[in-house]
Amino acid sequence: MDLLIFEIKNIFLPETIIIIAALFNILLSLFFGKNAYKFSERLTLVSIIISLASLSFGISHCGYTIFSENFIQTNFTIIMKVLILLGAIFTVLLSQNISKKLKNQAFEYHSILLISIFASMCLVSSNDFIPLFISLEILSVTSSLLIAFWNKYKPKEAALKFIINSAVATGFLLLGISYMYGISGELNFSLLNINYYSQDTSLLFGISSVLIIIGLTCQLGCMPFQRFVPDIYQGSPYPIAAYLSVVPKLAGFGILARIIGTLMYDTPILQFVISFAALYTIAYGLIGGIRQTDIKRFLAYSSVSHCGFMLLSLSIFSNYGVSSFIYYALVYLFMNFGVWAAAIIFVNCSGTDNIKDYRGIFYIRPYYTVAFLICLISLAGLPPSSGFLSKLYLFIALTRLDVSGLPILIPASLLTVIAVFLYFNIISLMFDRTPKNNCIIPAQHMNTKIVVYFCTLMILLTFFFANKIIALSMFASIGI
Amino acid sequence: MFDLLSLKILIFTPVLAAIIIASPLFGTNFIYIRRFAKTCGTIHFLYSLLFIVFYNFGVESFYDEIMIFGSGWLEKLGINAAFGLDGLTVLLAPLTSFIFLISLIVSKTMIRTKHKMYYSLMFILLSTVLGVFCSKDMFLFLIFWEAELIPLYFLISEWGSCNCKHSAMKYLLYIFCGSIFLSVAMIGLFFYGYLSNGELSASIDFLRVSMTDGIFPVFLKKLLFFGFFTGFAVKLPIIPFHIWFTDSQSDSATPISMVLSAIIINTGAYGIIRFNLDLFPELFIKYSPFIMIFAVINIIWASLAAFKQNDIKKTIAYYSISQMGLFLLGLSSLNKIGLDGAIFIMLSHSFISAGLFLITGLIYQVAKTKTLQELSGLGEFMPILMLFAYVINFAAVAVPLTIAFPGQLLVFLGAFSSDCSIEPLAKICSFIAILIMLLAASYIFKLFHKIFCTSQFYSTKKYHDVSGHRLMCIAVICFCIILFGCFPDSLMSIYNNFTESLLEILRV
Repeated sequence: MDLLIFEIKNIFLPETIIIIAALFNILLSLFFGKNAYKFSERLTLVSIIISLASLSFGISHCGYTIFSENFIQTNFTIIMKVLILLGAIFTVLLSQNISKKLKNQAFEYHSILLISIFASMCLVSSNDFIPLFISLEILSVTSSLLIAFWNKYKPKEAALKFIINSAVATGFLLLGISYMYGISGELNFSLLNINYYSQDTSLLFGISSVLIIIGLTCQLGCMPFQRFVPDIYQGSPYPIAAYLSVVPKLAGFGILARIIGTLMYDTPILQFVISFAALYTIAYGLIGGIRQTDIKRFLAYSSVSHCGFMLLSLSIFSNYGVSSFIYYALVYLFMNFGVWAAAIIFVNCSGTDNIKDYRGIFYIRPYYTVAFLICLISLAGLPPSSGFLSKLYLFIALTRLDVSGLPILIPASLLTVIAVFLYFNIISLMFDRTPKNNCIIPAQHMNTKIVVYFCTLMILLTFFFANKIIALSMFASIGI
Repeated sequence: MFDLLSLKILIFTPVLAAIIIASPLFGTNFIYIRRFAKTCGTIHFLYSLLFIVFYNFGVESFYDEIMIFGSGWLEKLGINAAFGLDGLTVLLAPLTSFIFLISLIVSKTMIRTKHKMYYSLMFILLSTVLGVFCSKDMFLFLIFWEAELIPLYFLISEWGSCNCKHSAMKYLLYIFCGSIFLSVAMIGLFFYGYLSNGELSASIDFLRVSMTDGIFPVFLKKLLFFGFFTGFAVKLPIIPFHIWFTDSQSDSATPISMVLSAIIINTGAYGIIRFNLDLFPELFIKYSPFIMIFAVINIIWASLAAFKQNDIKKTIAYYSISQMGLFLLGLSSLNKIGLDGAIFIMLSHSFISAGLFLITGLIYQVAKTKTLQELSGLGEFMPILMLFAYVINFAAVAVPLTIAFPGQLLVFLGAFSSDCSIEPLAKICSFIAILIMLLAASYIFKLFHKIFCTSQFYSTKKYHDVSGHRLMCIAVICFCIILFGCFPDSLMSIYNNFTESLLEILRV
């Protein structure tokens, strides 16, 4: 019992706070009336912030495993949890508008959101294939619940698509895990690491590694499962799409980085598989995004391409790679939430999803457009925004101190040209001389505005003060 | 030397000015915005002149570094925000500031909408260009190089005419493709610097030292040289990559055309000197015949293409391209005379092309057209403009006592006397180049003859001659053209040490 209390107090406290808040949300929905959505929102926000603060208790206990080696606490997991919780805060702030519509159901909505965040945090820190599988399942079920929360046709369709795809992915994952178990007789990462790391180069081990990676890519929206991502985002409401494009992906990438770092080692075949999947994903996202007319689909394709870049950083198999992944993830969090929040402001004011309606918006709302512009420039990867620096760091890490990275570096960097074209198409629309859209009224949504301007500020700050963040990410990448 | 003379202030005060202009301080009162912009531009120009005044010949002076929390900007990756000026950039920085000041002044009547955005973007562009010239770090150079894309994209697309959106996108994609080559080459260079010295650093001086270690595989070195050269060739522009330049020139507004041809092209030329010549001297020597051929192709193609243009702005854009061919010719001759001439061409071309674009802008303002067929007989109404136009016209064809003459003379002399590896090539190339420059004389003369001296046939409207600020701008440019044409040594003595050091690198 003492051990359990110690473990919960020092390591599992953030997750505990989140799950307690989720339960409280369900409980309180019985007692509060229709206009209590604000209370639910505040409760959720405060619990997430407390959880974020309580992460600091765990810093001195890095390397500890808890619950009979089922979960682990490392510097890397702490950083990933910080990113996940930041994403959660942004999501709650962005969903102010829809929780107002939901009224009493807002409690339910927030509790599902919190459980999803809980699952993401558990996924990142799981040290065994069983908790990994369970948290992944919770994550996909809660994600599809969040999509299907609205009683309309499109969200239901999107949720169904998501469920089916994640079921297929789960099949791959289970197959991979069972192969892994068949080779080694172990499911625990630490034991697998001790017994099998750098010993087994058999084909079966490689196959099981690839299957596990495929199973995780459904959450990531990477190569075999990238096709359904735009459909799902188009079907779901804006804040949920923003949430899905960042938080579950970061959790999935976190656990993938940890699996790659602890279990798999640098074989050329695995490297080839991951980098090919990454390049394919980047190309799919960028080329697919060119002809889009719906802002949600456009942003979905853009997030697919960025996930490709993050997957590319995991193909590096070194501390440099993980460190560049952390920096990319941080930047991606800010730029993606910034751009989604800007889209939310626009849709709340004008009510359309069409990209063509952004024409001439600069002359109506200049400061908002400049913030939007900075987010888009960061997505395109041009300085002075941290999107440029994250890509530069990724490319530097890709060369791996010799020429072997060159065949991947060159196509990846050439693809960024398409990215520039893609995002500047929108930008040139926003600055077009003939403003068509006059239906824009001043936005009243303070929370969404806060997210936009905060994200814009952070994009610039993480560029100018990148040294500290890169030092931190290098520190976190060591004991993954 | 002086704390007051800080490169940080030189580079980043324009950004501050841009922020002040963009802030709600001035409201919508564009007269104040314009006056503020002109004042800032003037102060900045005077400040940049101080750098020449206090320039310490021989040693590299004005080193400056940005520290954040007591460490370099991106120390973990070996990237430092270090700035410095040498003999070449100490001239280029005030020149940049000067051309920007002139274009800010002439914007008064040429830019009539969106003043706030225009002036703030101009200042941001000024800051990025100065950053390109001053950075002592490879990746910092890349950052400023790419940051330049954004303000210039808006400047071309928002205040241009006809197809300006298209041209701006063309500009963006061309230059970004080039900078992809640059960035890949830089990353390769970065790691071989690390392998030879065991220290992560992107400082150009550090890399110059580590390049001489001989650890580099020759094949990779060639690849890197090719990457750098392609990246800068797009900006220069060398012939197959020149479409962005002529298109964006013909579609953008006059002040932006001035900046594009006088300053932005110079960044490409500067890059070739700074990276290709400075870091890969033996490869530059090896490939100098090819570069010479490129240069001659540039000159021939641009001169022939200029003949057939209907758009006077495109004609002048092709003139710029042929001048850049001359620059390459001088550079590839690899001797003192040729290098001196090449750098002088960089400087002289800035003044002349700025003047030529200013004149076309003034003509466009009165005649409302830039098609050559529709323009004739303006000299009758605009004698003063005609006078200045002919001064710049003579300068463009390199008449003695104008600024272009010493540059071209030195380039041809250098090319003739260069000990190029393929024996008769240098002489043939320079001979062709001289012949073709005669052609240049004819197309520029043809242009101005048609505009000013033929009898007017289509309009009875009375045109007003230039006066006021426009007259002042064009007079200042003409004054500079004649002044430095008469005393070219005043410029050459400043960058003399720089070419000496380049030659030392080449001799090793």
